[in-house]
Formats: sequence, C-alpha cells, structure tokens
Amino acid sequence: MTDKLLSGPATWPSEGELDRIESALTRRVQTDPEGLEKGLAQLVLTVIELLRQLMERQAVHRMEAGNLSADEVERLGRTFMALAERMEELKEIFGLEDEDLNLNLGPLGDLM
Amino acid sequence: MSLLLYAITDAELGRDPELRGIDGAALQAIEAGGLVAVASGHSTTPPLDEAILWRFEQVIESLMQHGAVLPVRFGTTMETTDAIVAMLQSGRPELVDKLDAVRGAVELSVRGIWRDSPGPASAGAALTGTDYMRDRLAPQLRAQALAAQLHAHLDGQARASRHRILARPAVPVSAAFLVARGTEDEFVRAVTRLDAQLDGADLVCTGPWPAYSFAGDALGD
Repeated sequence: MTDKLLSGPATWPSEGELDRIESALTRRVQTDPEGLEKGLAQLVLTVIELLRQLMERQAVHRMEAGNLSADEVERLGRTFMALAERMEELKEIFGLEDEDLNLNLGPLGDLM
Repeated sequence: MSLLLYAITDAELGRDPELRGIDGAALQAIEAGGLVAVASGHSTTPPLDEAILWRFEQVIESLMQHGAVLPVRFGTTMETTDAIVAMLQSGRPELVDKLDAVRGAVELSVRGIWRDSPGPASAGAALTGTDYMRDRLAPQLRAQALAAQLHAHLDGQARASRHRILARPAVPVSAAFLVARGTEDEFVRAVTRLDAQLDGADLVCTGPWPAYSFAGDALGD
C-alpha cells in the first residue's frame, strides 16, 4: 500500500488504519452455538445503530438547513442523546465494542 | 462457474500470458461492438481479503497500460459470456461516454486526516439537546470547510473531482481527482503546498489509481 503513497505523513497508513481495514475485511457475525446470543445481539444492534445514525444525520442536516425550530432542535437532541446512552448500555450488556457494530456504508462512509 | 468482472475497455489488449486473474485464473476478453469486458471464471465468488483486492487492482492497472479502462466494482459477477455481451451492447453509448471521460487520466486520492481528534465542544458539561445537536454539526462544518479548501486549490489541476465528508470521524474529507497522465507530479506538489498551509489536518495523497470514482458503476449507476 505504501507504494501508492505520493505525499503525506511517513507513518501512513497507521497501525490503527491497517487494523480497521483488516477488521472490515474479515469481520463476521458469530453463529457458533457458544457465540450465538452475542452474534444475534451484534446483528440486531448493528441494524438499530444504523437506523439511529441515519435519523441523527438527517436531523443534523435539517438543523443546518434551518428547517427546525429551536424547540425542535432541543427535543430531537434530547431524544438522540437518550438513544445514544441506551445503545452504550446495550453494548456493555452484550460485551460489544463500537467496531463490532461497524458497517461500511459506501458513499456514506463507515457507520461507526 | 460464474465470471468475475474486472474492467471494461475499448483498448486493443495485447496477449500477456503472465497476467492472471484472482487465484491464478485465466483472464478472458469478451468483446462486443468495440468494447471489451475482462473477466475470469470462478466456481465461487472469491473471498474479500487484502491479497485478492490487490490482485484485482493489479489486473486493472495492467489493462490501463493499453488504454482507457472503466474498473468494475469488486465482486461483480455474471453467469455467461452471452450475458456480458448483452450488457456491453445495451450499455454501449453510456460506456463509451464514460471511457472518453477517463481516457488519458488517472485518479489521485487526497484524504484529509485531523491532526488532533477534537472531542465534543461541550465535553464534560451537562448537555442540553441543543448542545448535543451542535456537537454533531460542528465536525461537519469543519470538514466542509476543508473540502472547500481542497477544491479551491486543486480543482484547477484536475479534469474532475469529487469528495465525501466524514467517511470516518478522523477523516474529514476523502477526495478523488481525475488528473491527466503526465501531470501527476505537478498535482502532488500542489497537494504538498496546501498541506503546509493547513493548521488542523494532514493531507495524504495516493495513486495513481484506476478511475474508480469517475467510472460510476461501469455496469449501471
């Protein structure tokens, strides 16, 4: 990959970047009997996180465009904050990290 | 057995017996109406791993030595050569336009990376809902400002450009520039000059790549 580097930090790609690529290429939902519950939780939480972030991005776009009143911004912000906190609790319960819920969304970038 | 597609070209392809596809599979050139689709036969779709992606890339880069190439999205398969011929025939006008657009050019990628990943502006404070929303908007505004700087400094050196914002939190901008062959060094110097002017971000320039960002989906889009 470094053959393709034309300019930039000599440390590129960083170890974190390589780990991220490796994880993106090899990540699988666990379906073995022992990991089934965690695998299912991972799958369901990934979908929920995808929806949560899509809604949040849409709301931020609407705020940026001036399409929301101050009350609506406050109310939406509180709702998304509560959802984010609840998601953190669920990840902790099932022993999942942010990277476990990551998805590459193509033009939209990574989910996490 | 299905056919994994690599690229579509209108170039005369020389015989290169050394060039093999993924897993050493023989490459097939399937021609229709002056267009050629390059593919290899596989009993199952190859798994997604780094070595396979680099082999896919090498095949396309080899084809670029012969002329204009539209890379096909990795993992695109068709069942028969007849299906590929039909695709080339039905999509010919659009494919010819896309080939003309990338002819004589390569893609250079410029990625912005925050030097310091700033936490939320209101970190540590009791958040209101409005604070929370502003915290999410602020990185987008910073990233958009960086993207505007990239385009202002580099678009003059490129035939076309596009970007996406915040593909990841640490990467505010991922941009692609379609640059005429022979002017890559000039473009890289412009990137280096801009990098030196930026306070909060480093720029990483990579390439040359096939025109992934400008081919659309060669089979549709």
